[in-house]
Amino acid sequence: MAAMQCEIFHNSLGAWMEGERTPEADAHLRACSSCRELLADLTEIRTAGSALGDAEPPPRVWAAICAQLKQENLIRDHSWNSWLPSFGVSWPRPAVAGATLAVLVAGAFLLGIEVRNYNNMQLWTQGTEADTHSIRQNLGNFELHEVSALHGPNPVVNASFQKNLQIVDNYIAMCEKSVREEPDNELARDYLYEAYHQKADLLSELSERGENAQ
Amino acid sequence: MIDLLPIFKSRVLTVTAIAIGGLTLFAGSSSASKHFEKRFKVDAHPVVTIHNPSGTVTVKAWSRPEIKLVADLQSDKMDVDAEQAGNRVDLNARAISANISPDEMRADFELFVPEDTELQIHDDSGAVAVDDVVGDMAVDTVAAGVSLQDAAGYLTIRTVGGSVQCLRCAGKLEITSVSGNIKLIEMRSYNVRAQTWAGDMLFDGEFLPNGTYRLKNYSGLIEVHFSPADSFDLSARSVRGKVDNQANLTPPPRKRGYEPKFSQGFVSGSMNQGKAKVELVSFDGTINIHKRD
Repeated sequence: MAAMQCEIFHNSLGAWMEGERTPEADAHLRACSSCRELLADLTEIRTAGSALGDAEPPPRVWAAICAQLKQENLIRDHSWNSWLPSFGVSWPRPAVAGATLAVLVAGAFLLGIEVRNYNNMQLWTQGTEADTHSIRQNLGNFELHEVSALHGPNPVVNASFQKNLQIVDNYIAMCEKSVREEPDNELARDYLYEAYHQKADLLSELSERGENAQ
Repeated sequence: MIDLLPIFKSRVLTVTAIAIGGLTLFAGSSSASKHFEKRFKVDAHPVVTIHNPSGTVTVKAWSRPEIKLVADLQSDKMDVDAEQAGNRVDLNARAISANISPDEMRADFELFVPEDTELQIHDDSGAVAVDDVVGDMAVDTVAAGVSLQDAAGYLTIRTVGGSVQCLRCAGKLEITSVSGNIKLIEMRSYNVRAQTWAGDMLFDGEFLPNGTYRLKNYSGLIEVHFSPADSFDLSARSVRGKVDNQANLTPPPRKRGYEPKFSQGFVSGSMNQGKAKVELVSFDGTINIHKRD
């Protein structure tokens, strides 16, 4: 019964985020700490996105992430994506792009958690590798297209970025391995999410430096 | 085991390195090097922003209502934009020639500021040292190490590979780094959040009542020193590593039925009344909670 209520609430989350709040959903929210936590996380992401101002990922990045999330049924056309793109309408600086990318990565993970909750742990277990692989691929593409060609004037800084990107990549690989081995280990998932977030931060900073140098 | 002595030695070494760097600069420099000085009259709570791509940034507090910048530039292909807008002073070292080598990009800043100055410092490589400034502070570096002494306010430090050390800092402290070590000595902060992925972390300071202290890394060592009179709730967890706890933990008084938990990778419980909250998290590293010597 409780699981069914959660599923119904999850299905109405898109409308809830847009201000359409039914008494039934409100009552469920008061009674269900899990859904409250999910809603708090999503609200935090949206707030973070709003704080970016007039910012939006470039079409290719959003399109790739969005398509991947849709393909994996992590978002739906008439609910999630009605508020996810509301992060902004333009993307003036790569730093903002990276920050937005980080928010999208966060969103992807939380949406993944949502799938885990209202389906079952097995789906999450089976989907974890594919989910993280796609996010890693998106970050890799971003790195390949936006950053690889950049060479700053300071070799010490370049070396530091390269070394630390390698460190983060290694941690991503180790975290993914841990999540695969223990999919219900929340701390391992937190570390994995933070590793992706860290990589997005590094890439955005590198990209910003490249643009400033031009 | 993290030794306390190196933090004091490292400051001496930092100063020595700066001095040697300065001598090298002097000995090896041509007439192309530049010296720059400028003073700015300011009111209370001035804001100073500093952008220096390469070199040292040393900031010291003084009692005068003015800001003094002393800049030594490695080459005449560098210049300093020093502008004042109201109570804000912006200092920006920049290349004025496209044909500049990495060595020629170096600029060393020494600033004297009122103690309530708010600082925003960007220094990619080199070193940042701030003494006795109690205004809010944001320091952002790539490879540059950061050393704060007797700082207060809301302190935000972000590095990629640079190490961070705070000596006798107070207020609220947030530190993030990818691979830098973090050392926090004789702290009086009520709120500390420090995270590094691959670095070691040391906290040796007071746990203030109602204070929160969160240290997190992926690998490496997290070491926290406590005194028998300290009062804190402790949660220490290493997913793949181990926790070595010397604190005598008891069930928190406000949590009935709760028992302190101990395992190789997890420890939780209260020390004395549990007035502060201490959270230590590592994935693959070791967490030591040891009595202060």
